[in-house]
Amino acid sequence: MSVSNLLKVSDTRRVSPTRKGITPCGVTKIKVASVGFFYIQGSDYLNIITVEHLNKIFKTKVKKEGFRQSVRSILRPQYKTVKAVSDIGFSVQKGEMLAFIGPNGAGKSTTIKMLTGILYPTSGTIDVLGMNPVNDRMKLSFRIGSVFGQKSQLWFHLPPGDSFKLLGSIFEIPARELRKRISFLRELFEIEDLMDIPVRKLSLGQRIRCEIAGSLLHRPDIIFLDEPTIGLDVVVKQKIRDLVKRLNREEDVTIFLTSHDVGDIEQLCKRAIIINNGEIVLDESIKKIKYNYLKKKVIDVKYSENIDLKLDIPSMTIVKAKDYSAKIEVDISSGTIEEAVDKLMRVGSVMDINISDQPLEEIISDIYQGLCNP
Amino acid sequence: MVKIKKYWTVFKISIQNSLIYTSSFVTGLIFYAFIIFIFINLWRVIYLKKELIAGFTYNQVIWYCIVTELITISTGGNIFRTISNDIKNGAIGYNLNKPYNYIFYNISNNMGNVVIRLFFNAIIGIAMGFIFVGRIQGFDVIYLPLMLICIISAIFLNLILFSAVGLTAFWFEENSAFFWIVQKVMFMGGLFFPLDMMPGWIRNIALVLPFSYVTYAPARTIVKFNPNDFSWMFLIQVTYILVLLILNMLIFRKGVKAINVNGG
Amino acid sequence: MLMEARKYLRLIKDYFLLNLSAAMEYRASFIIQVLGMALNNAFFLFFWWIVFNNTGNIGNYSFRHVMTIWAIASSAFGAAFILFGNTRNISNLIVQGELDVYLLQPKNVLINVICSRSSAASWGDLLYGFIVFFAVYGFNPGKLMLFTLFVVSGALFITSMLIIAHSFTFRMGNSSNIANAVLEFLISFSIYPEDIFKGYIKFIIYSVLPAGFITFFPLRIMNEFKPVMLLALLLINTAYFITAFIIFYRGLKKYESGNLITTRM
Repeated sequence: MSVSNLLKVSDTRRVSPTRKGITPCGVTKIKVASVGFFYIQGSDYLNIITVEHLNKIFKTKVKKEGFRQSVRSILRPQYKTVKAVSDIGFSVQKGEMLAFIGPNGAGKSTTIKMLTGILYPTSGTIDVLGMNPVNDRMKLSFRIGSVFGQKSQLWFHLPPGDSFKLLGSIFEIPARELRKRISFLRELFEIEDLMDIPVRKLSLGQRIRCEIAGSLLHRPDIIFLDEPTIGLDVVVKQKIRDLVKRLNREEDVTIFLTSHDVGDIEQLCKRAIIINNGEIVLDESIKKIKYNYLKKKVIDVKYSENIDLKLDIPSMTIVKAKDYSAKIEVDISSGTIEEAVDKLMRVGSVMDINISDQPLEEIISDIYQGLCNP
Repeated sequence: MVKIKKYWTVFKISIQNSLIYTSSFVTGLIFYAFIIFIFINLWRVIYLKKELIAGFTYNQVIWYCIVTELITISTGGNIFRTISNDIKNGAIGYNLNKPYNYIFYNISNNMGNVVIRLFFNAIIGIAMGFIFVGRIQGFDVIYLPLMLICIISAIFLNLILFSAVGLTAFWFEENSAFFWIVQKVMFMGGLFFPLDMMPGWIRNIALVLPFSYVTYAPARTIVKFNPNDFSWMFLIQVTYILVLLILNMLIFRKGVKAINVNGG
Repeated sequence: MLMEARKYLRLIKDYFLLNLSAAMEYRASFIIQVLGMALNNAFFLFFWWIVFNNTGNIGNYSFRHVMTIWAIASSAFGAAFILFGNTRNISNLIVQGELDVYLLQPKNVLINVICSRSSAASWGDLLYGFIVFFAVYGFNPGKLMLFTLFVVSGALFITSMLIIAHSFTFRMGNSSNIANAVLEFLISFSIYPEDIFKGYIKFIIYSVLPAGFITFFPLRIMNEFKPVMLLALLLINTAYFITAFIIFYRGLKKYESGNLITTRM
């Protein structure tokens, strides 16, 4: 983050509430100096999120069906503990786009919620932008944005424009600044035409765009996206991804993303943390994941005649074979590509052949299941 | 016979269903007990100065309130809400092509819930009555079945009234205001105290309207029982039930037509 | 401190205006609801009129007195749900994990939650109370000021009790039913003459269900003004509100953000 950027941020939010009428020069500098330690500290930070030994245990009352069981659960409640997150640690650098992935119930949302101050950790330490989300929840919320796919911060019966104004006042953004910001985001997210339509009448894709725009009003340093593309069609998904990419590039926003959609992850993130059963299974760059965990290649082959494909090499398995074409998986830990291609060439006259990596989606699901070891 | 049997089945299933949702039913019970408690206290203070108000003793007024509240609280407003919601969210479409009468279906579906609540509320109400004011003056066990008939037919009339109000959702999006109004008119029909305490002209109007046959008429019949009064009251109750049933069918048919015209 | 207070007053104002415009989206239904509520209340007026016609005073309460407590109660409940209309949804917000949205905003969670919705129908209650007040006292600036103050303190008592009842949800699962019962009890206790209650009930209405502080205590001050009593009322009011805050925040530490549902197998 450049110094001029820092100044801009500070004169909109950081400086004490008497900030009215501050010009970007002179006075602001003094103001910044007075809260300067904060920024010097902040900008020196390479890691803007640091998590160590984080645990979250949920204690739920166990209640069985039926009246007698209800009475018993009041008199002598039985508890069951569920370890949602157990002893995880990681860090995120400024400007990074990080994918936080895992199967349902792995602890993704629980972790995000602890990072944003929604949930109290059972134990462990969290540092986000130099703050502890539990103690500095309000202070922190000025500097982070979040979109939870299913939970809306927009008002259902009102147009997004009205909700934006309300959010502006909740986040204490000066009126003039807010107007500028809204008109910028309106253009960026192509939601000019939606501003006056009640949210209940918007499509899911339109709503999500407004939702993300709304979470950016206060120029957050980090944005948490929890399943932002869930339920969207391919075109809209792509649009959202492009927007997120642009945001990261232009405003240097750190992106913390959870998604089931590997497309989101592949296109946006350079690094992924994979979590399963509350534990971090893997924390690596996407490139490395592909490199280290890639055990299979996929060969698509097309013949000029109808063939009856039979393979006697154990490292090769037929995924699909029909008439002229076939799809074969090659386990490169037990066999070689050379051997496989050679075998396929000998079956018939090959018209076309294409060798590709196993899709990331499968790699990840193999990692979840512990099928893969580097 | 087969035609009636299906409503009996619906009724039995709804009894089982209502036993599952114990918590809402317990709160209803508490609220009934609470209201009776308030009335016992209120009238106790009022009757400190007088023996008889509009021909009613303290004992009679309390039992009167126990009965009227028993009828209205046991009936509740569920039938109104289900019918309104069915119409508003379009679920009614699924009910149209089913081989049953929508109104009868809803009445029998609610009856299960109502009967359960009636049973438990009655235990509470009767217990409180006995504890605080003793048994109904001049009570005769022979008449107990007839008293029960008073209450059941009153509840039936109440359900049919509310179902008619629910059907207004065909034309009015925000029809809960009608429900309140009918509820309050019911209140003028003698929910909190006998019509005998009201000025003559109000009493005369109220006696003509069906609302007083949900609360006033059955409750008064029970606390001052004589077979003659009972027969008259029951006759009028049955007449109103029939008239309102026909009215319900007419409104329903018109409403369904209105949907077809507007395309839902 | 003062700055903070101003910020929150502004927030309440913003929410209020936004809610009003949301209500205006459904204008017809708004008007019907307001009229419905006012009509609803008119029937109770009728009830008391009949009762007093038949009896004369109830204990020490004249018709005027009953009208006064009725007016305070009506306006206080109205004000509670106009200003803090979301209080009654707290349990559902907790159970469905919807507190998240509020926890992500830089405002006090409880104030942010309770102010963010406003009940349109409650305007009928608020107005009705003032109409009854004017009918009983005419234009009397001193009494009007006291009345308005009692409406506000009453609204805070009601809101505090509802917050406490709904906060049980953090510990024991949805407590909406309990909260609704508390609301019904508060309403019913505060609109009948105080003299019909005795013994332990009297204790209850000045403690766990503070209906006595919503209407009966204010009525005494209206009848005979004593600054000490007024001061006492305001102190007790503050104590209830602070208690509600503490209980809510204690519970919030146990907030599970909807994870409860996924862990219950």
